[in-house]
Amino acid sequence: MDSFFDRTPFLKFLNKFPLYTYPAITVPQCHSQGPTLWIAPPRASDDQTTNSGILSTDVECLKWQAYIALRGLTDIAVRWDISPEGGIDGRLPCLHVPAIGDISLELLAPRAISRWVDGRTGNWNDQLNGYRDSSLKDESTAWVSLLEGVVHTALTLSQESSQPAFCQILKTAVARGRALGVTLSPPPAPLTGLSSVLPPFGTNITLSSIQGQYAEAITSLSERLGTDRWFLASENPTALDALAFAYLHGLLHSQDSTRIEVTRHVNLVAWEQRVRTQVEAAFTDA
Amino acid sequence: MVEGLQPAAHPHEPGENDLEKLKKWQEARLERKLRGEYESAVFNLAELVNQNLETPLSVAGVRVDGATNTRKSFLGWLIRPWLTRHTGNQAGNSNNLQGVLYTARGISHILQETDLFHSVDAKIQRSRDHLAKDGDVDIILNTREKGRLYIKTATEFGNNEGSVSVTGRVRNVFGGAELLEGHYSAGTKTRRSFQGLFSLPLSPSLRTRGQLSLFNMERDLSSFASCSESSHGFKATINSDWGTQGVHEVAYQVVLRHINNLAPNASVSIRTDAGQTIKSSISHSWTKDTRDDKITASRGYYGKLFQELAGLSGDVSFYKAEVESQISRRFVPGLSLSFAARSGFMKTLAGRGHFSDRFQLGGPLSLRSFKANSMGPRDGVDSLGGDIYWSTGISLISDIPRKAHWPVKAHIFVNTGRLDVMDATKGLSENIIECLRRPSVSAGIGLMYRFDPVRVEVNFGVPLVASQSDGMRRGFQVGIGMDFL
Repeated sequence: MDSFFDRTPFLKFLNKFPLYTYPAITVPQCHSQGPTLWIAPPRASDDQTTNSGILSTDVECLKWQAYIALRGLTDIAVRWDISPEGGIDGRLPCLHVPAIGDISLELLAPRAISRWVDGRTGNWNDQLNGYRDSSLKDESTAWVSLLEGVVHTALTLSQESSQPAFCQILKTAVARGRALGVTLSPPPAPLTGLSSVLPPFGTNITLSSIQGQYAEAITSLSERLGTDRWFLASENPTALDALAFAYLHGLLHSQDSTRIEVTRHVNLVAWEQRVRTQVEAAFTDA
Repeated sequence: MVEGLQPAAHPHEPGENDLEKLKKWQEARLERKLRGEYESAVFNLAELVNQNLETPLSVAGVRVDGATNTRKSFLGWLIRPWLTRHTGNQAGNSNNLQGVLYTARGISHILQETDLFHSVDAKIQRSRDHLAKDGDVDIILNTREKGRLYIKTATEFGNNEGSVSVTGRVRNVFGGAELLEGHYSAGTKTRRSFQGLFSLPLSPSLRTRGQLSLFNMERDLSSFASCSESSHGFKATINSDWGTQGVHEVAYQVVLRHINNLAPNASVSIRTDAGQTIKSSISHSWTKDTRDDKITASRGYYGKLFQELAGLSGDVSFYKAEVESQISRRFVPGLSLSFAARSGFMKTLAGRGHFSDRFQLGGPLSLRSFKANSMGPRDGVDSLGGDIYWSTGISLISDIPRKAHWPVKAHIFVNTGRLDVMDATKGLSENIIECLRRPSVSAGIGLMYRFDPVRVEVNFGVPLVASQSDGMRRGFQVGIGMDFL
């Protein structure tokens, strides 16, 4: 016997509604139809003849801009009106890939960008990632550690010292990027010591304390580049070139001794300038 | 006892055997006698006053006793207009007993309006001033002040969420009827909110008040927008009651909004609006309410017009206008019809619109039988809000048969509305026509329960017509709040 509370007829009745359905209300598309890279804002530029106002001031974002450009992709749009909190995992850059055929809109985190680039260039099977041999590939790891260690610390300290104190206070942990404590080995001491009543916080490190290491790192970089077109004498640009460009570009736009150290090495300045032209040409403002 | 000297018994007096009944009867008789004497005295006094209304009298001074925490300058500020009105009357027809009584009543009323006093008792006596002339009187007001500190904790349900709150209030902070209030609450959807408010009267009639407030709120919007929103702001308001012409409020506010805590599946549209933005805006609202009951009205009407202009500084620039009205009519005892309508539009003046500023539609307090804030443009799982909307609701409200005194009523409703995005290539009138052309419609029946100060509804309804992007709620839906469509 059917009970009054038998859900099936009841649900069947409810499923008849709504009796009429309009098409969905669409969202106006206010962004580029092609791939768009979300980056941190670039430096303001008065130079109208070049595309120099399109390179991000954030090293992480600029690294991926350089990677995409040096892999030969062009006409990628960039936008910098999105907060880092809008990115995947609260970070930028992100790559917004529009729908193509059956593939819907997709937002890619940095870790997925290289796969996407490989897909676009058809370069799936390079085990050496563009390096000449496996020993150079291993050597690239050491150079990456150097750049992401001492050089990154020097650039971060240089950028922080150029900002007003209250801006540093307002920056969130996400905006600061990786904590300085994890970029150096051994990690620097905290601001408060054992004798302090405050719990350990911050890092006790200044630019002058790492000036020697930083100068050595830049000199090494210059010597390794020499007169080669790309780092580690690669035939084509690699991820190391993108990373090196990102740091060199940031250092050359700093306001203190970190910039002077780089300008002492003419080959680095010339190399950065050449790569910058190529990177700027690959992107358009969304 | 000697024959003939016994007291005559009252015809209704109980016998001497029933002492209890006799005692009660005597007490009732005494009470009737006293009441009669009192009414007679009041009648005689009223007659005496009415016969002497034209007696020349003039208020020479006003004294307020018992207001130890209230500034004299503030009391003088309140009272002076009444004295000026009394003495400055050119026709001279207020310099009599009637004028004095009117002035005393007015001053007493304005002191009660300050909400500073438990009681205000007015007395009129001959003036004790040495220079007083014949006919000069003083008005003496004996007051008893209310306590200045007030703390309350509460559990509240309203606008479809529950919360616990703590409120602290300091009355008469500087002796001028200023109010300092702090309110903190934590709830299901508004996770945390804090408001600090300082208000003071700006006019001697107390119809105009100024307010400064700081507020801080965190709301969980994940049910419809995959994010949370926190707001920190400051607001300065002037609120003026124009009596039968309604209440005007002008405000300036600056708010720091932060869209954060995005879900991993948040849409691109919500991600675009993530982060911090500042809104700096001025607004004006006009409200008029003649309803007999704000919660379950059966008579009267309610009208509200709200306008906001943002962009004086800050990151967003828009003009927004909203209008809301409700009218109720009882056409037979126990049965009333209520009609409500709301509409609004927003025009972005510079840049692009922001999620926090757009309208939302849908839910048990808005369009019933649709999910809360789920109508209009959608990107993936997120409801983005819109620039233009309208909604109407008709409800037939009835008493429960043979239980008219119950706070539970039955109702049948039909709601219609639409939330849309303005097409920048078309004019406002074209956008309005386009928005009106394809309404979503729902209908149903339900019960409403009056649970002061909110109303609780349990409805069974279905959407009859809807857009594919609308979030629908077929079947039962519960709503708790104060403003229903």
